[in-house]
Order: sequence, then structure tokens, then C-alpha cells
Amino acid sequence: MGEKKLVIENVTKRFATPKGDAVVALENISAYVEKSEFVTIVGTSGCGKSTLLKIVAGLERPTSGRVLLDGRETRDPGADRGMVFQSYTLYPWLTVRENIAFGLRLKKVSKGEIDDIVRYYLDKVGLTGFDTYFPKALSGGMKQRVAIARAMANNPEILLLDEPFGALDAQTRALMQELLLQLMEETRMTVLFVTHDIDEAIFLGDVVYVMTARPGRIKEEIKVDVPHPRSPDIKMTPMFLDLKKKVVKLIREETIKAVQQSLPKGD
Amino acid sequence: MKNQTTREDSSPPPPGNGRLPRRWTDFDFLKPKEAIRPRIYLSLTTFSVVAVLAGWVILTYGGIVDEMFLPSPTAMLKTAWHLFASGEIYPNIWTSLYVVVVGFVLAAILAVPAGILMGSFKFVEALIEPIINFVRYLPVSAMIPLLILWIGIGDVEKIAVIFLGTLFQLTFLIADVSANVPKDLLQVAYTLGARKRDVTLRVLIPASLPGIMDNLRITMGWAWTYLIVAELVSAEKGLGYMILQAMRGMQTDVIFVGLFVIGLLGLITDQTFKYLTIWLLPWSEKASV
Repeated sequence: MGEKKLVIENVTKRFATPKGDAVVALENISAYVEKSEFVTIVGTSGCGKSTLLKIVAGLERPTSGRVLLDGRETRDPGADRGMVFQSYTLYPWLTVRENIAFGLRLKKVSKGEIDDIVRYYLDKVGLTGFDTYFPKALSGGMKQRVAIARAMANNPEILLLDEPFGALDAQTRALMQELLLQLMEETRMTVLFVTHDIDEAIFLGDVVYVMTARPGRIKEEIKVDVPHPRSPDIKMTPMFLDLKKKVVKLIREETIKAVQQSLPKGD
Repeated sequence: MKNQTTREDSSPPPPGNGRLPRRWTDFDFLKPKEAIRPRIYLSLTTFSVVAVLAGWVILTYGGIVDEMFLPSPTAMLKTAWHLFASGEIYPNIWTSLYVVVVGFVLAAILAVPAGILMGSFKFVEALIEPIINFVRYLPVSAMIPLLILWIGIGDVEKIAVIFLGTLFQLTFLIADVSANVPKDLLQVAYTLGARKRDVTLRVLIPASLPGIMDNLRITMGWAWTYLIVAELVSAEKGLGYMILQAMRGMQTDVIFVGLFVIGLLGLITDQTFKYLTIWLLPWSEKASV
């Protein structure tokens, strides 16, 4: 087996609601991502999967437990864990080129090198020629492609994606999944990807973690034994459909549980 | 989403389809938020302007209203010509403009950084929010007597009125802008290797700029109001002073010219902000002609 790039160790996150009630968002989560592996986490909305990703990114602190990257504990956010959000987070005052160069400039990379890196990733995400555009002129799918390029240009140890295609229409989303998969097959980058879309989780993931409803726990770890490069056609194979059936069943149980939890208690 | 017309076994179209509208409720211009034809839009705009002008013409030339209360268009043009040709009005315009711009710029210099800090740093918010929220409900016109006692009735007093009138409002509005910068924009910077300083300087401030421009534009309009109030109370020069003098001399034509010039100056400053946004912040969603 490959080396463990990222290890999530017994992470628990509790917080208090404004009313003062204690909420357990995540309970004793343990998971890992091997080097060059694409791991997806799938769960119902509100299960704490985004919180988990933010803890990995260092944007939030766990109540207990820890996150290890290459064996070292991480606490604060850093350029070694690049992140793509569901919301559009391109900087509107920067052009596409300047957005992609944002992290590189902070690192004081030389201008010539920045130009090369930007050109490389623009080409990779199919946006050559758009370098001087401002984000307001781009479609949602294009914005997310730039956001992926911006995160990758920084050459992080691991790429964290929080439902990056959640706001896109179904057709664009399918194309974006293929693009991302192809990119990762080429660059062999390590990825942790959070989604509520079961198809997406299986199609992209080498491993799929299924999460429970709140409090979020890992319900099941499923290996997706489909070799790379994967074509979108695999979504129609019996093996894919079997996996999907299994995950759908797991998620369904959790969704029902989540709905029951949200109903008012008592009589 | 069946396309009824291409189906062979389709049922006949529902009754009423394709018929001319019969009742007044069938007309689309009564549908909220519905666009109307540009030609109709333009006609209505022209109609309202012409109606106002026509009303003016009828009331004055028709002798319905005394010239003393409402001067005729020709009388007003003559007065305007006189005021501008003789140069009599320029010192008044200049004084008002000078006071508004100086007072407003001074307020903006303080309010913009204070607002950004107050909206984004809880410790600044804790320090200054209670004071600002109290003072901003004090009408600045109520402070004019105090300012006259402290400073006198010169330009400095008027600058102080504009300054105090806009400073607290502007700080509060800009704090809101800065507080509403999406947190994701800041967080993504951290994951790109930014430190706190970078996040403030390279993300928070640029992200606040369009909202700041917007609020400067709005507050500038209020500055004109405060100025005229201050000049009506006490002044030796300025457009408000000119209007007050005209009232004493029963010169309604001068009053109208003064009002018109104030409106025009307001319009010009407003447009200036609009084009500044287009020029300085071309990336902003608000930068459109």
C-alpha cells in the first residue's frame, strides 16, 4: 500500500448554538488519504462534511483529535493544503491570470516562473486566452476551473474540494468531473473531495467515505476498484450501479434519520 | 413541458388562447416587474416631463399664479442669464462646493479606514460601535447652534457641519460593507498561504471598495442637504445664503435658479462617482454605464 499522505485521527467537533445548546457536529472521525489517491466523502447535508474539510484545511480547530499531513500535525491553514470552495471565491478585482498567481506572488516566485505556471494551468483547465478576463465575465463553470487552477498552481501537498460543482448545472457538472479526474490522473495530486452527490463521489473516488447524519461519523469506507483513466461510460456499468445502490441505501437511511432529528421533539 | 402543437393526439388548446385581451386585467403593463415596450416607456417618460413643463407654462403665462410666487420660464431664464453673466452667482457656487468637498473628503478620510476596521475586527467594533450608534441618530442640524457657538459662522463651521453629518453615517455604512465581505474570500486566501496582514490588505480592502464607492456616493447627496441647512441658518455666502436673501427680497426667480443649480451640482457629483467607479473599479459588478 502507498504511504499515508493525510491522516485524520479521532477528530471530534462540538460547538454551542446561539441558544447555548451543545451540538456534536463530528464524532470521532478517523480517515486517511494515501499519496496520489482521490478520496471522496459523501453525506447528507448538515452531516458536518464541510466542517471536516475546514478542519483539515486548518480553517477550523477540532475539539479533540488531530490532522496529520506527511506525519506532522497541522493546526493552522497553509499553502500545503489548497482548497476549492462551493461558493465562487475568485477575487473579482484580479484578472484570471492574477487570480491563479495569487498564491505564487505571496511565495515571491519570480515573474517569469509565475508566467509559465499560469500558462500551464490555464491550458490544463482549458481557459487559454482568458488570462486578462475579470471573473465577472466568466460563467460559473469557468470560475470553478480558475479556482481549481489557482489551488493547483500553488502546488499543494493535498487538494481539498468542498462541493466545488454544487452550484453548477448538471451538464456542466458532469464535464467538470471529467476535467478534474483527467487533471488528477495526469498530475497524480492527492485529493480529498467532499460532496452530497453519490454519482460524483463514486465516479471520482478511489475510496468513498460515507458519513452518517449529525453527529457525523464515518459509516462505511468503500473502495472503488475501477482502474484509471476512467471514462464517463463507467457510470453505466453493473459494477458502478451496484456500488451506487449500496451508497444510496446507506445515505437514504441517514437522510431519514436527519429528517427525524430535525422534527420537533415531544408530543 | 409537453409541446402540445407537435403531438398528433393533442387536446385542443385551452379556451382563451390566442384571443385578444378583453378585460383591463389582461394587459401586461399591470403585471408586476414585467418589461414594457421601449417605445411606450420613452413615450411615458416624455409625457411626464412635457406635462410638468406644460403645467408651468399654463400656470404662469395663463396668469393663474402670480409672477411673485412662480416666475415664468422666460423670467427664470432671464434671471439665470443675469446671475451667470454678471458673475454674481459664482462666489456662491464656489463657496458651497468648497465647503461640501472639504467637509466630505475629511469625513471620508477618517470614516473609510474606521469603517473597514469596525466591520472586520471585533475589538474595534467593541470600542467604537456604541458611540457611533448613539451619535449617528443625533441630527447634525441640531448641532448647528453648538457649532456656531464654538466655531463661529464662517466656512469652518459649515465644514464641521458636513464633516460631523457624514462621518458617523459613513463609518457605519462602510462597517457594514466590510462585515459583509464573504468569509470564504478570506479563508481561501489562508489556504493559498496568506497571512493575516495579506488577508486584510490584499483581500478585505479590495473586496470592500465597490461598496465603499457606493456609500460615498449616497452620503455625498446628504452632504448637500446638510450644507444648505447650515447656510440657511447662518452664512455670508453660498447657494443656501443666496436663496435666503432672495426670499427676503421676494425674488422667487432667484430661488428657483438657486434650487436648479443645487440640483445640477448634485447630479454632477453623483455622475462623477458613477464614472469614478467605472474608471477605478472596472472589475466591479457595479461598474456598468
